[in-house]
Amino acid sequence: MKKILVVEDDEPTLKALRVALESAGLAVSEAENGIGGLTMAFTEHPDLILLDILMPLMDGWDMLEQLREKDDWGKCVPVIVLTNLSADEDEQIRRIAELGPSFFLVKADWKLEGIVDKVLEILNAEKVPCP
Amino acid sequence: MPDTTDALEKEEMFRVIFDNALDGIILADVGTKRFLAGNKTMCTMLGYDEEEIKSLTVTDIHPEHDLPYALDQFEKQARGELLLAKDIPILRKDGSVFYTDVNSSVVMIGGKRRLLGIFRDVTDRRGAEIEREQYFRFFQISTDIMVIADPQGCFKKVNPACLQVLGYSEEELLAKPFIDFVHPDDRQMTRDEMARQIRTGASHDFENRYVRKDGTLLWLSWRATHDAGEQVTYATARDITERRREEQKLRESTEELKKFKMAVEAASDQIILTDSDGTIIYVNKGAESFTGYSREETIGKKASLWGGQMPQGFYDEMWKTIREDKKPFSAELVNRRKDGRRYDAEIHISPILDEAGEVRYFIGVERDITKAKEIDTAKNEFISLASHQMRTPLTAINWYSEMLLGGDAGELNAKQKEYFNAIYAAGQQMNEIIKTFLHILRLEAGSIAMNAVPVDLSGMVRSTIEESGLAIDKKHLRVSEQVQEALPLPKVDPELARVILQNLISNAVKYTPEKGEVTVSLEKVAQGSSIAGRTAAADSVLVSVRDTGIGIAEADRDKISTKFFRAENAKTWDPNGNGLGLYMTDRMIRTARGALWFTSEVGKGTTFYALLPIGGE
Repeated sequence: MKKILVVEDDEPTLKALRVALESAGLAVSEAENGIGGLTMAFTEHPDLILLDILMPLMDGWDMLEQLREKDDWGKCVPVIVLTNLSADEDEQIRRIAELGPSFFLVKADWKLEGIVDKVLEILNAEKVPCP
Repeated sequence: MPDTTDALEKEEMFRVIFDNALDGIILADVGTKRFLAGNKTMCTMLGYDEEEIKSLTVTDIHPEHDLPYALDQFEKQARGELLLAKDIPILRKDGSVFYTDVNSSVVMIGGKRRLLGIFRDVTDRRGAEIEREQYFRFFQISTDIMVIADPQGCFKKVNPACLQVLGYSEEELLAKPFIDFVHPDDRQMTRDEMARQIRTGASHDFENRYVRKDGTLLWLSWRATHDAGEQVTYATARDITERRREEQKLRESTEELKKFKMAVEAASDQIILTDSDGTIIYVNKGAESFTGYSREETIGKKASLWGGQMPQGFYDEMWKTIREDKKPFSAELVNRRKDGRRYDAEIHISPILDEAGEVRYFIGVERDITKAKEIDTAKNEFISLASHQMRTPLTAINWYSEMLLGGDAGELNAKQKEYFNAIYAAGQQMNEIIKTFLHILRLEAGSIAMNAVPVDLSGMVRSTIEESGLAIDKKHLRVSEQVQEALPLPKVDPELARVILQNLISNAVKYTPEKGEVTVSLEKVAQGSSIAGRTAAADSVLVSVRDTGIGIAEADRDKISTKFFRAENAKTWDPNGNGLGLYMTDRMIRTARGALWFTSEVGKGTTFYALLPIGGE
């Protein structure tokens, strides 16, 4: 069973994602900020991480950066950044995309069903070579 | 022989008188006009001796030119009709001419009619008369006013210029004290001046106003002399109305200039004037406090003293606009104060052209918009944050509606399904609005990410039409798509392309009444080809969206793409629009280096044309 780590501080969002992913037959673990996310990531080595950006204590950008810099596994694990982009984040997206296989989805633009499909698509795809 | 003695004595007496008379005396024969005798004075006058005179006739002692007149006078005197002939010109032996009065009488000597003429040289008297006449002529022809006034304050004599300037006849002017012709406000002053003149006798420059017969005002500048002996005042005056008017005009325009200068000086905006090279020739106070440079430090320099903070392309564009195109240039830019601090400014530079159309000066107005920029940034940050924050609960609303509708919490009945669908649709709509806000923020900040890749516009059109399916079905619209075969894929940011198509198509659907038609066509156009009044700047894909909708009034043409603008007919048709769709679409197309325009007829329909360059940026 493929493991998905969801890092998300908003309780209802987290719950909806868990329900949707589990009903698609995936194992879900959770963290509510970047610090918990990094711990979970390196102890459980999930197959994919769903990552929110705006979170307390450590935000998604910082977590992603540390994940990519820590080791080879961290460099290569696929990450879907699930956020509600604000106007000034284009530059950050460009920068972070260079660090490893990341996908950026605007939560409000996606149906749950669509997100699950995207997750499955990435899991089933050929591994993208890591930088 | 007393008789003889008497006779001899008498003759002697006459001879003495004849010889010593101070007047010239001539005895002439009336018939032949020959001179019979002339006295010494006559000889001296004429320059002939006594013998020579006897060989002359009347015709010899007058200039040829005056001869007819002289002969006529002679004949008249010979007939006894004229005793005194005045101012007769006489020709001397040496050819010179002098004037005489000729007193004559016809006498009988030895039974023969003789004319006795007594000539008096009047050259001196005549000279004086001529001189007087000349002076009088000056009086007559002078364009200045000349008058003689009596101590009672009446004109005694006025020259024609006076009549002409004042517009009164001589009788009218002499009939009343001249003070009556003076402007009422100047009368006291004029009386005082007259009194002073009589007292001092001196000549003074004095200006007052007269009222012409036609009621108009006349400014006169006087110079007068009072002659105490004759008890008259001689005065000349010059019409200075025009000069006064010029002075008044000059005073007014000087006043006006002063006002302008004060306004320019006091303006809080920076105002600078440069010559055609951009060398500063004037800066206002605002400029000093703006840039931190004093007037002395700026004049003679160029505005680059506090500029030069922008890319070179910016200044190239500026100079091209104002110097080559001779058009005003407006922009926002960053400048640097003397102390090194940067500030945001809005500038407007206009070339000032001379009569030949060449640039004489540039006038530059600069406004500090640092504050406005800060406020704008704060506002944008707020909207950005608010949009971001709104999206999180919105996501929950959308996803949970989706789960309920998907039966994740058990099967829903029809009513429940309908209501959750309504919640879901409202959530989607709200998300679209937020997205529009964010797009605009990014467009205005210039921070929109351009990820230009070849885009399948045709597929995008199909999916966009599908998204509007509900509205299309509801209004029974016929929507068709016409795609040129082998249409190339233009390189454009897919999100941008999607928003552009979505706005154009949803507008067409929204503003077309029931059973109307919407046609979306895609075709390739080559660079330089002309489409609906425009020329393609590059090889492009042309998206045209034609509808049979309410149309756009010609008066709204220029405003249709401005932020928040909504046409009257559009507002009536759909009160809920936000006036951002076309604004955003237009900006996005321009970001993609394309063009957006339309043709329309109110009540008939509109066609929007969007050109997207195939090569992308």
